[in-house]
Amino acid sequence: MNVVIVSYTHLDSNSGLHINSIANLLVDKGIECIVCVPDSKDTVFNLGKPAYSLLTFDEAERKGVRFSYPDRQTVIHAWTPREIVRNFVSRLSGKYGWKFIVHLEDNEEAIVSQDLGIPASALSTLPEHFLDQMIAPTRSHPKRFREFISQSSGVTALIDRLLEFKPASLPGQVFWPGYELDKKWDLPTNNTYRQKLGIADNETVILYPGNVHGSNRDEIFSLYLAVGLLARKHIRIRLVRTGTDYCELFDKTLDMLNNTCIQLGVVPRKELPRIFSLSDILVQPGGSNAFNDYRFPSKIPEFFASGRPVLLPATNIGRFLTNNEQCIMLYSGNAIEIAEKLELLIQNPDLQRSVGKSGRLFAEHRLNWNVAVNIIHDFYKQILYTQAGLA
Amino acid sequence: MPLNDYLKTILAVICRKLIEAGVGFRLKSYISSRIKSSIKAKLYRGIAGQRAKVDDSTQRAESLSFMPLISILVPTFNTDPSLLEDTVHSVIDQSYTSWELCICDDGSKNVQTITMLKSLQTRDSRVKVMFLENNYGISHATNHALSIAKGEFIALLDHDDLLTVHALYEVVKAINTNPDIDVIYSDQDKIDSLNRESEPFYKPQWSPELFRGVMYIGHLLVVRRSIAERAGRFNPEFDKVQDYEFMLRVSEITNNIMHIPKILYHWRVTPGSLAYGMDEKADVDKLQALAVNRHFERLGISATASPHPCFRHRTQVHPGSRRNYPLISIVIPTRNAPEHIGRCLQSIYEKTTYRNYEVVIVDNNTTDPAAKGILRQYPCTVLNYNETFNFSKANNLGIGKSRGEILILLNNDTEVITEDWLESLLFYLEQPNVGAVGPLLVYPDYTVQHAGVVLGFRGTADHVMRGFPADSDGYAGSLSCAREVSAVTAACLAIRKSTYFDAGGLCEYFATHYQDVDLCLRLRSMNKRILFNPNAILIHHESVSRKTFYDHMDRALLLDNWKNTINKGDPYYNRNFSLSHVDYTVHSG
Repeated sequence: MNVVIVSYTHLDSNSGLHINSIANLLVDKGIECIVCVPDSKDTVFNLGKPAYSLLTFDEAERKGVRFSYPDRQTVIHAWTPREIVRNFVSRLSGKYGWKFIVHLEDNEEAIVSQDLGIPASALSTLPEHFLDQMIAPTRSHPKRFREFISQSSGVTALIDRLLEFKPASLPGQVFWPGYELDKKWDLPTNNTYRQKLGIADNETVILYPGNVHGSNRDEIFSLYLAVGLLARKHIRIRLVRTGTDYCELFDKTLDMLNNTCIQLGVVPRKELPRIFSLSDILVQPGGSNAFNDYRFPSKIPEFFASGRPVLLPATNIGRFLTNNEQCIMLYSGNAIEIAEKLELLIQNPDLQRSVGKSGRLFAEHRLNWNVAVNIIHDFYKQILYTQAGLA
Repeated sequence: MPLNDYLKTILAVICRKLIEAGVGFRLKSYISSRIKSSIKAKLYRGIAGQRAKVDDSTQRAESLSFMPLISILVPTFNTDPSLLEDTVHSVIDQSYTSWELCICDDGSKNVQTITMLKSLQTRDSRVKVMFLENNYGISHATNHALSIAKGEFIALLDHDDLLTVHALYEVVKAINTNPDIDVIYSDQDKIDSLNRESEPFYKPQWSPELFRGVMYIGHLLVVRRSIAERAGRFNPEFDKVQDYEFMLRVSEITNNIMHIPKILYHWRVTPGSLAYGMDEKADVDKLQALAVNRHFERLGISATASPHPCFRHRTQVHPGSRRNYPLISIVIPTRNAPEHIGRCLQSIYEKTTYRNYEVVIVDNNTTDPAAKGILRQYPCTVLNYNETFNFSKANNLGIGKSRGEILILLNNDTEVITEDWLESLLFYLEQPNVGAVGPLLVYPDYTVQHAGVVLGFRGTADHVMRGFPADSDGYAGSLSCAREVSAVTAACLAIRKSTYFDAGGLCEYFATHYQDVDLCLRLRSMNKRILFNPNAILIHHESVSRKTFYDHMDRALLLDNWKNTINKGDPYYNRNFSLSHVDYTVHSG
């Protein structure tokens, strides 16, 4: 079996991490794997030396996609149906006659809707001509992405509800992402590092490692506000952030919220375990909505692997967890609820420990790339070799 | 920004605006031909709103999965034929076509009217005309028209008024969105003999308490026929206010009542009609009050209605005598300020006629000897609250120690004016599904400080009609009559203790502002009504105590909790009013 994975972005990204982990483990299974990226091929080295081959789209089109054993069955795994991938995969599949499957990791319609400020229900009513002009290459075309999926041989998804976007007749497979096994995510609290950042021993550190963009701006703001509210109640608390803000979180009237936040900016991935060692509690803010219901938040595997208590929305992966045992569930996800749940944990160190420990066990058993790759491999075989796949 | 990206952004903004303006569907078929001119024209139409004359075919083209027959009932009597012609044409011209016009002539003697009516029958098969030999009155005639109606819904149309061209389409669109809806009413305006439109009346969403004081539903009124039949048809005893009395009975059997905030009806201004002037129909006020009294009787509400002493076509509701006097706990957080707490307590103890109440003072470190003396002077319970002041926490502490079944949250800088303030607040609090009641608060100069809270002012929420003379009518009775509002101030707020706890009480994460709005919105999310009651009046010496400090974190917290609710617009403040003003100024856009 040969596999081509086509990414919509470079590999030093959340999606890239998934692709990198899967491709390396597929190679371990004796499968030849080529990953195609639009550009910035070298970013892969931030993740380590890959065991698979890497091509830019341009290279793949100019030089061809060549496997050592071209007679083997080949499947293309389109990593999202976004325009840049859809166009490339359509050409590749047309040229070589290879089957392709589509991977879904987000509610593509919700993202486009958020980007354009147009309700998702109204997007499909817009003329195609308009949509063609408005949709960026790294976004899914509201009409064409569904056509693309229906032309595929199957769909993989990070969370079950994403399979709602495929026709019922098409095979689909869910796999949950894992955490990077080569990093130690459950380091003990690093007091030296905390002191260096001016964090007192009696302060509770909430960590949110991630970017802020239009789709999550409101929920990250709720987290900031929750921490600000607790600080206003004279609770010693600090929010530690990494990542980039692609939109304004709040205006100057709320500058006081910056007083309780330490923003470390963009941090190399290898530094993340050390950042995690600053923290006491990890929060994935948000509630049930059209964006969150159809995603698997990218930081969740590492959150659970940290052995620290995790607050997360009662949707997506939250639906498979037990509240107050493996995690602390957020139902509305607003600032008041986050603040209340944080207070609960801060006042109850035993609960912190037990939830952190159970969360770690969940990660070890369920958020493991070896498990995920076995599932993916079986799905490839189903697509390539079974009667349904050949039909 | 590269030009291409810039153009994409512009395109997205245009599309967004068009969709917001409700023209998204129509855009589709138009684009292929003349994109640029189309966008301009349709954007204008959309933003211009409900009055815009959009091409009929575009709206007809929109698919409505459910297209019920609507029977339009028109009683006539010696109607000016030219006006009748206009009325009928406004029906025939409807963009929605599944209707029948049921005209009942109430014994007209005017030959031209009769001739016109007879000719109408031949023009359109959907027009049905029946003639009564004698003049029995409008209710009688309307009932006859109803008896020949076959539609699932009936619409009431006066013989000289006009429907806007998409009136029925808008109604059916609303029915498609809310299939269980039983009653739909719209905004309206007036039209003169030259067909000039004026005096738009922008109404709140269904507000049953306001309806007891004001005949605000008016036109266009569409009722599910089965509900109309159950309600018992129109009562001739109430001719002149027959549709109001009918609607009171309808409201007793359904709460599925929806408002379309668009002008779908032009009310003809002719001598003799109410549209011409408030005094055109004698005895209307007495009939209105009688209708409300009958309504109270049917519902077993111990109250009487009388014509408002100051305003035409308003009723004033008087609570009946009480048999029980539940303990009311008045909870007052305070610190020092002897002039405030002294005046407040004096007014309570000297003026209040209600016999069973207690006052719980939550004292936040009072050190002023005069204030301490005042607290000792009255038979109130004083609780010490020595932390950094938090309004919510102070109230929660006081409520926790209170004994009453009913709570009044009260600021220390208020002063009771109306002696029966507690009876009045309690009366409304005891009505079904009422979560909280707020009084009329006035400044010392008797201008309005609080007459309810509107969502959206200042981007969050604020008091409506602030600065209005307290003895004015407001907008169509909004200040002279009790009504539903989105929130009331906690400067004086009545609530049952059980309801307070069910809702989670005042949220202590709010430090200074908006905890009352947050509480009321939680009550509303529990399907509780929030009422403003203008009959209970207190002075709020806010100008004295008010600080310039504005807590932006509280603002952010309110928006974090309720942004979606606020963005939907206040149900009791018509979207045609500007949120830049607190005084019902019509939106200039």
